[in-house]
Amino acid sequence: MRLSHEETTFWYGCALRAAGLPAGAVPAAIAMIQWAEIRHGLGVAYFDRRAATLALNAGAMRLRADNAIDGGGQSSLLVGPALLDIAIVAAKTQGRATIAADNIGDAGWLGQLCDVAAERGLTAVLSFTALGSDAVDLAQLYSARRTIAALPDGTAIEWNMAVALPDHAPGTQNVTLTVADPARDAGFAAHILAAADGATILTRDDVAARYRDAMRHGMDVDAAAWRRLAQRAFTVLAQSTEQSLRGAGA
Amino acid sequence: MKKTVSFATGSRLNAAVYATRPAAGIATPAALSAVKASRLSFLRILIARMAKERWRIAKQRFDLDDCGRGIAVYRIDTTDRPLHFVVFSDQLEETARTDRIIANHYDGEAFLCLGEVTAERIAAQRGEFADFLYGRADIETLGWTRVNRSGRIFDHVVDALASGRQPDIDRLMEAGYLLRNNGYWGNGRHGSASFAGLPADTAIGEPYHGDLLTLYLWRQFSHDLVDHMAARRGTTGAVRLHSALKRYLGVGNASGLGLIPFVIRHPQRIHNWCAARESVITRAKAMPADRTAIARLGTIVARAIAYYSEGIQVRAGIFAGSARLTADLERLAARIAAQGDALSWSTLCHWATDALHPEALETLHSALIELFPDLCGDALAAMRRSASPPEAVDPAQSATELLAILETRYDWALAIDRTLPQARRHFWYLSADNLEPRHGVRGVDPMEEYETFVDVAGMMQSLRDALLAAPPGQTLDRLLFARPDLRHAVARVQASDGYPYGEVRANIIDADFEPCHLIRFLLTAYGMEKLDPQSRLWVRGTFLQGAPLAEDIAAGKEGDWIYPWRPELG
Repeated sequence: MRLSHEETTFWYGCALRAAGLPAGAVPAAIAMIQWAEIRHGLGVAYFDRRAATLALNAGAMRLRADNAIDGGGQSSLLVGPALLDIAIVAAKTQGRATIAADNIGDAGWLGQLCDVAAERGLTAVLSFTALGSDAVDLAQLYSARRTIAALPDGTAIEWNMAVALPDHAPGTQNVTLTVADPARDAGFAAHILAAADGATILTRDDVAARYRDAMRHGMDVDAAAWRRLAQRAFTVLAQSTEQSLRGAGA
Repeated sequence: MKKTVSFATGSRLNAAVYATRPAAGIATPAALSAVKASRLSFLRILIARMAKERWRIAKQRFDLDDCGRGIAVYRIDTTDRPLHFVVFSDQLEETARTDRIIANHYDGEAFLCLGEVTAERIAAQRGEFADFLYGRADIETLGWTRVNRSGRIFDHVVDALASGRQPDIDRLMEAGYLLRNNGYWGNGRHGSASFAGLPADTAIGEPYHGDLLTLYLWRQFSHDLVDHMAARRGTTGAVRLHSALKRYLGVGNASGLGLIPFVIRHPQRIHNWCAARESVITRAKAMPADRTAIARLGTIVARAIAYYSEGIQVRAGIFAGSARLTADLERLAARIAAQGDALSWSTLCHWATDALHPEALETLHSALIELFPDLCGDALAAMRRSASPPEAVDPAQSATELLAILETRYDWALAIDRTLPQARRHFWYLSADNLEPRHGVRGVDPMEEYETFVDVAGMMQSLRDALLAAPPGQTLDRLLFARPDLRHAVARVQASDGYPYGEVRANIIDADFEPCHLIRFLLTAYGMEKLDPQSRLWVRGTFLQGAPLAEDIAAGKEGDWIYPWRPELG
C-alpha cells in the first residue's frame, strides 16, 4: 500500500509514544524512521521487526567517557540523537571526533545521523556491527547498500559497513561515528571521503530530491506491517465514551 | 498617490522593523480572537486568484434523483492542470445529522483531485469513504470533505423554488448557508497528495487553497442541488434560486478543538500570518488619507454594521456579540464622518484602540488593509513561507546561553503559576473516533498518560528548571543526553528567533482557557467573517457570503464582496 509522507508523522509518533518514548524525543525519532523509509524503503519494515522489543529508557544510557556511550540496551531512536549531539560538539571544538556507542538495542535507524551531520556542514561516516536478530535484520536491510552523499562544499554523508579510518573500527555490537568539521580539519574530512572510495555518491540535491519525491508520490510499504504499526499507534488513542465526548468540540 | 513599500528582505518577516504592536498585545487568545478577516485571509487570496485567472467551473456530470441522491462531478479549469470535484450526494434523516466529525453518515461526501476522473476512480474512492479512518485516497487526490444540509432552510428553499417562488430572505439570512461543511482531510491524510509535494507553480499550490476551493465548490453544488431538486420535484412552474440569493448564501462550517493543536504546533506559521497583517496595518496607517479613501472606509464600515446587525447573530459572552460590535462600529462611523478631510488613519486607529472593543478596532484594521491592496503583495509572499523549520538543535550552545534566550522570549510562560490546581486542570488527548482531539479533566478522566502536546508553558518551565540545574559551562549535548525529553523544547526555543508572534501567550491547560478564541482566530485567517460560538469548545460560522458566483469568476469579476448587503431581488 502507499502512504503519504505526511501521514507517517502522525502514526510513527503515536506508535513511539505507545512504545514509551518521551514526547519531547518523538520528533527526532520520527525523522530517523522517515529517513530510513525515504532513503532505503525500510522504515516501516524495520519498525515492524523491532517494535515489540523497542527499549526507550533514557535513564539506562551512560556516558562512559567523552567519546564512549553505553547505550544501556536502548534503541537507536533514543541513543542516536545523543550520539550525534556529542559528535557534533566535539568536531566543532576539535575539528574531528570519533564517538563509539555499544550496547544499543537496534541500529537500523542510525543512518539518518550522517544526513543531519552533513546538513550542519560536517563530514560524517558511521559504521556498525551487530549480533543476534539485529544483525540478521541489518544484513537483510543494508548489506547490499554502500552509499555516500557528498556535498558541494566537501562535506559528506556516509552509510557504510566498513571504512578504513583511524580509531573507527567498530567492535562487537558497536556503533562508531566519525565526524570532521572541514572548516577546522579539512584534511581529515578529505580522508573520510577518500576512505569511502567506490561508494555511490549522492549530492545534497540528490538527497533533497528523494524527500521531494516522497512528498509528491508517497511511499509503498507492506500493508500488513503498516496495519500492525497502526494498531500499536492506536493504543495511545482514547476509546470514545460519554465522558470523553463532554470534552470534545464540534 | 499610492506607494508600494518593500516588505521584507530576508527569509522571515522582520517584526522588529515593521510591526509596531508588541507580541504581548497580539499573541494572546483574546487578541487573536478579535482579528477580523481581510484581504490577507487565505480565502480572499484564492477568490482573487480564481477571478484574475478566470477559472472555469463546469458541471460534468449531475446524476441525482429527486431527493438529490447520486453523483455529481465538477471540472475546474485553471491555468494549470484541470481539477475535478466528485460529490457523493445523499439525503439523511434530520435526526441523523450532526456537526460532529465522528459521525458515519453525511448528506454529502466529496473529493478534490488532480487529473481526469474515470468511472473506476470514482467507484474506488466511493468504496474508500466507507472506512473513513483507514480509507485510502489515490496520490492525485488532494483531499476529502463532507457536508450536511442545513436543517433550518434547505427544505424550505427547495419547497419554495418548486412552488415557483423565491425563499423567504429573512430565513435565508438567519441561516446563511444551504450546506454546512464538516471538515477537509488533505495534505497527506488518507494517503492524499502532500501540499509540500505539489509543484510550486500548480494552481492549487498556495497554502490552504485546496481546502478552501472545496468550500467554494460545495457552495456551487448547493446552488445546483436546490435548483435540481426543485425542478425535479416541482411542476413546470419551478424557478431557480435567484442569483442575488446565491451570492448572499455562503457555506457553513463547524469547527472545534482540532484547530487548537494546529495553532500550538506551528508557531512559525502563526507568526508569519500575524506579522504580515501587522506589517500592512502599520504601513497603511502611514498612508495619506484622501477623500476617496475616506469615503471608501465609510462604506466598508457601513456595510460591516449592516452585516453584523442582520442575519446570523453572534451571541455575546466569549465574543463581543453582534449588538456590542455594531454599536462600536456606529461610533467609528460617526468618528469618520466627524473628522472629514482632517482624518488621519493613524489618529483614527489610536482613538479606536482606546475607545472601542478590540473586535471593532480589528474591523477597522481589516478595512485599512482593504483600502491599500498594493501593500499586500509582499505580505502574501511572506505568508506562503509556512513550512516549519526542521526539528534540529544546536548541541554546542551552552545551557547558560539558552537559559538567557528562554527567559527573554518565554517570560510569559515562565511567569505562569502552575502550582494552582486550576492552572493544570485540563489535559488534551486524541480520541480513536476519527482521531478527534478532546480535552479531559486531570485526575478525573482517563488517558492522562497519553496527553498530547499543547502545554508550551509547562514544557518551557521544565526546560528552565533543567537549565538552572546544569553545571556552569555545560553544553546542550550533555543536557540532552540525560534529558532527551527536552529535545523538542530546546529545538523550539532555538527556532524562535525572529518569530515573536508565533507562541500563543497562554496556559492552554488552564481551567479558564477558552478554546473558542483560537478556533475563531484560525477560521478568520482562513477567511470566515462571522462566527458564533456554540459552546466554549466549538464555533459555527459561514464562509463565502457575498462571494462571486462561478459565472463571475469565469468573467474575471472578483467583485467587492466583503460584508454583503441584504440581498435585493431586482
